[in-house]
Order: sequence, then structure tokens, then C-alpha cells
Amino acid sequence: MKIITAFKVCPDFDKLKKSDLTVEEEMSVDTHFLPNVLNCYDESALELALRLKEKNAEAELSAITVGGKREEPTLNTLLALGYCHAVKAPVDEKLFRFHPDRTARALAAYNEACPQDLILLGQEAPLGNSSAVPALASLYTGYPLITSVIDIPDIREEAVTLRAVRANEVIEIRAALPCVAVIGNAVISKLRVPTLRDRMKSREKKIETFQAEDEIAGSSLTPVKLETVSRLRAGRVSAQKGCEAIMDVYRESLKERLGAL
Amino acid sequence: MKILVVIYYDGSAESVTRPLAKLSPLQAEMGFSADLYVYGEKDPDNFQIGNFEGRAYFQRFEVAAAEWVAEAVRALVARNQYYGVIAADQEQASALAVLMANKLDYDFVTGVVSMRKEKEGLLCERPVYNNNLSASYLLRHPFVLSEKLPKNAGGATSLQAGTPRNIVWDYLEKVPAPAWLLEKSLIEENLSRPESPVLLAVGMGVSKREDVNRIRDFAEKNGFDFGVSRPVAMRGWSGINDIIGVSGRILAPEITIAIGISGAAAFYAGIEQSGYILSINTDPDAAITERSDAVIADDYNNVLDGLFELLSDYKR
Repeated sequence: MKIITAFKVCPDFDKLKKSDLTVEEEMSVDTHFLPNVLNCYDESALELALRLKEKNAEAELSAITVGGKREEPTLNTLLALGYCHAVKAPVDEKLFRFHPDRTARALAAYNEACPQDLILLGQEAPLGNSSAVPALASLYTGYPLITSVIDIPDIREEAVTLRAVRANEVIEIRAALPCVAVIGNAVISKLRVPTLRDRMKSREKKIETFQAEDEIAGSSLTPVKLETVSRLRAGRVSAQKGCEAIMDVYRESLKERLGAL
Repeated sequence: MKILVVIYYDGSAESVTRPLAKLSPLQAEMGFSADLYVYGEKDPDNFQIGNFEGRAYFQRFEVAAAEWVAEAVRALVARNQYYGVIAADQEQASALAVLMANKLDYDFVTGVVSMRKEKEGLLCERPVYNNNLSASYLLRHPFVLSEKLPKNAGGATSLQAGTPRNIVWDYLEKVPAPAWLLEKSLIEENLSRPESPVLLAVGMGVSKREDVNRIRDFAEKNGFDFGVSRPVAMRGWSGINDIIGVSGRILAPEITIAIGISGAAAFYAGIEQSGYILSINTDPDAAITERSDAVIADDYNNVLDGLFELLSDYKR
């Protein structure tokens, strides 16, 4: 049984200062100074896959990233954690940034070369934040799509058990394999950390390269404009502290607001 | 020019009337009329809506899998001429938009937060770079889009202004479960909570689990809404249904009190439609400062007692 998780390492936008955000030519933004983080949904997906492996020793785990050099440390970490294959599909990020179809086609091409039973994808990732890659990957692989998955309790033989959010309910479904599962706000959010021994043991394992074709035709629309968004409000900082500050804010603006409710 | 609005029915009338009310003023502004395609896994109630004049189709699914819904919409669009198709905001709206666009061979944009009609088509904006930037797309018709419009999009909700009358449903054939679905069971229900005009939002600056619980308890006892940033939920200090922001709930309360919130754009997306924001944060240079109406630059531990005492007078 083969399980593959696609992931992305992206700039940590939570560390971004507004003054550092400038849209350059070709509608690009310089983010090289920001630390890198695993996309949060993908991190959940990678850990969920490890937990499935613990429940089903036959499962063979792979991880793939369609991206650049940022992902290499994570690929090595995944090998240390027991992933059999850690695959990078290097592409020109600028070409793929707003073209989820290109990313999805690259994933589908890998799946065609190495067919998988379960494909795990995070529901969204920067820079494009389109939430479109999973549905496109489902189209291009021909696998059914299961959205808003928050847990994967089990995988056995020809079926996987998933929990998913639907409006104001959580449902559990057992789905025949193969399928694409889209990981949303999962119960499991942190990828475990490999021990030094894990890392030593995996020294011989190598990151594999899959050549995704840059010339894959992109059919997604390209933005006509990219701009920063002004979110400025009054930003009045109280000169007081503690409970006096509360009363100060109350007198200045909050009282009127609360009174109008 | 007619558009088809696709809405998921979750068993509550609000799941249909709320997105319709949100879209209605925009339709009027852009000169569209609309038909309605509502799908779900439960039989519909009688919905009373004001100024809705179009046809209303309802289709029940054993399981509303996106690919099957997309196929059903394709069949409906094939029988009618629509300027475009809009998937109303819900968990699988983006996936549905992608699949519908593929089946119809239309262009698509997902997660649209604003739109306006131009000579060449619709100019749609959506957040990118984790809500730090906005990208504009020119979407020519026929199109498919999924919306994440603000709750106050277009101003007054003209659908509610008309004389309420029942929607007359045009029932379409029930769709059986897809073959890949072997079993389905309900684990938890009634996850959504009633909205309140006051929201208490907690971020990573709240350093103890007990403090998060204290703020949640106070909010619940006093009829206020409660939410957290994603990292707080990921610590296991709060449920995933409490998450606010790009990955969670997008709210529009009259008053938001942001406690220990840094103001990261991905979180801020969930509260930026607030009428008023008071932030409590030790760092006056945090991004939330300039994104708030009023700021208390202090440790939340010094402020909570006074805040609770004050807000108790306004319990809902």
C-alpha cells in the first residue's frame, strides 16, 4: 500500500513586517529574508501519514514537493522519520506560483510514474492560496476527492477511514482506495522530530528528483494586478496600564460601541 | 444576464438564506438575475425569502461529493444559458468551483472576496501570500467562481427587505452515493455556534491554557463569541472549530477584543470586518496595533479582571 503526501515549504508570513512588503516587477515579492516553515496543512498531512504507517506496517510512505531548494532540509527530515521516498520536483516558482494546474499536473505525472493508493494534500498553501491544487490533482489522476479531512484513523487493505468536516458536522467515512484526501484543520498538527539516531540511520538514503516539466501548459488565469492591502485603523494606544487602561478605552470609544449593541 | 448560484444546504434555512442575502445586492449592482441550485444531504425546509425571482432547484445527494455535485451542475447548465456560476462559500466551495469549471470548460477563480463588472468581464479580487497581498483577476464569461465575500458585501441585504414568501423548489432527481464510498457515519453535530456582536479572540500571547479556558468560559457565560488563532488550537488549547482566520471562521462582529494577538494577516482575515477592534498586547509595535481602533499595550493578566467586570454589564 502506497501513501504519498505532497508538501510545500513557504516563507513564514507571520514574521513579515508591513514595511518589508513591496510588490516588485513581474508582480513578485521578495521574501528571501523570511524564515521558512512547513505549510501548516501539509505538516498535519505528513504526520498523519506517519501515524498510518504505525497502524499498518505494510504502508510505504513517500513525500513529494513541487518547488525549489527550500524543501531539501524537510526532505532529509522525512527520510529520517521513516519515509521511503523523499522526492523533489524542481520547478521555477514564479511559473507555478499562480498556476495550481501546473503543480497538480506535476503531482499527477509522478503518480503516473509511481502509482499511489492514497494521496494526501493540504487544503491550501501560499503563495497562491487558491485551494485549487487538490481538486485539480483529483481530476488529473482520476482519483475521487475527499475534502476537509481532519483525521485518518485507519487504513486497511483496499479502504481508508477518514473524518471530515461538513458544515456543522463531523462525519466518518470509509472510502475505497485509491483516493485524494484533502487535509484541513486536522486534529494532528505537528510533525514529530527525528532523533539523532534516526538521522544517522538515514544517512545513506537520498533525496530523489522527479523532473516536472516547466513547459506544462498552464490553463489557470494569471492575475492582472498584485497589490498590498491597507488595513490601517486609528491604532490609538492608551497611555494607561491595567484596569485604568480599560476605563480609558471605555470612555474614549468602547462605551459608545457597547451602548449601541 | 443570468447567473447560477450554487449553495450547500446543511439542514438549516440560514445555510441558504445567508449566502443569498450576501450575494443579492451584488447581483443587483452588476445587473445580474439569478437562479438557485441548492444541494444537500437532507430534505429542505420551507425557506422564506424576499426579493428572489429566479428558479430554485433542489437536489438531494446521498453524499454530496464535490465531483458528483459538479456533474449535476454541468447537466443543469447544459439546459440553460448562464453568464456564470458562483459557488457560495462553504468548506468545499473551491474544490467544487474547480471541478465545475473543468466539466464546463470555463475559466475559474477561487476564494473571491470582491468583484465588480468591467467591460471585458468580472474583475475579481482574492487574497494571496497568506492574505498579505491581494491579486486581481479578469474573469471573462462564461465563468465559475467560488466566493468568500464579506458578510456585509454590497451593503443592505435586499433579499430580506422584500415581502417574505416561500421558495418553490424545482426538485431534481436524488443522486446515490458514489461507488467509492463504503460507509458513512455521523461523529459530531451542531458544531456551529450562534453569532454574537462581541467577539473575544485569543492568540499565542495568552501564555497559559488556563487563561484561554478562563476567557472562553467568560465569553460563553455572557453570550459572547469566542475564537482563537490557529497556533492556539494547534497547541490543543482550543477546538479546531474555534479557529478564526484564513483557515477558520471569517467573522464580522460589532466589537472584537483581540487578546495576545500579533495581527498576522492570515488571522486578521477572520476579524477585519469587525466594526471596532480593541487589542491587548504587550508589544506596541505588533502588527495588530495599527490594525486596531484602540490598543492597550500591557500584559493581559493586568487587564482581564477589569475587562470582564466591564463587559459583564453588557452580557447578551
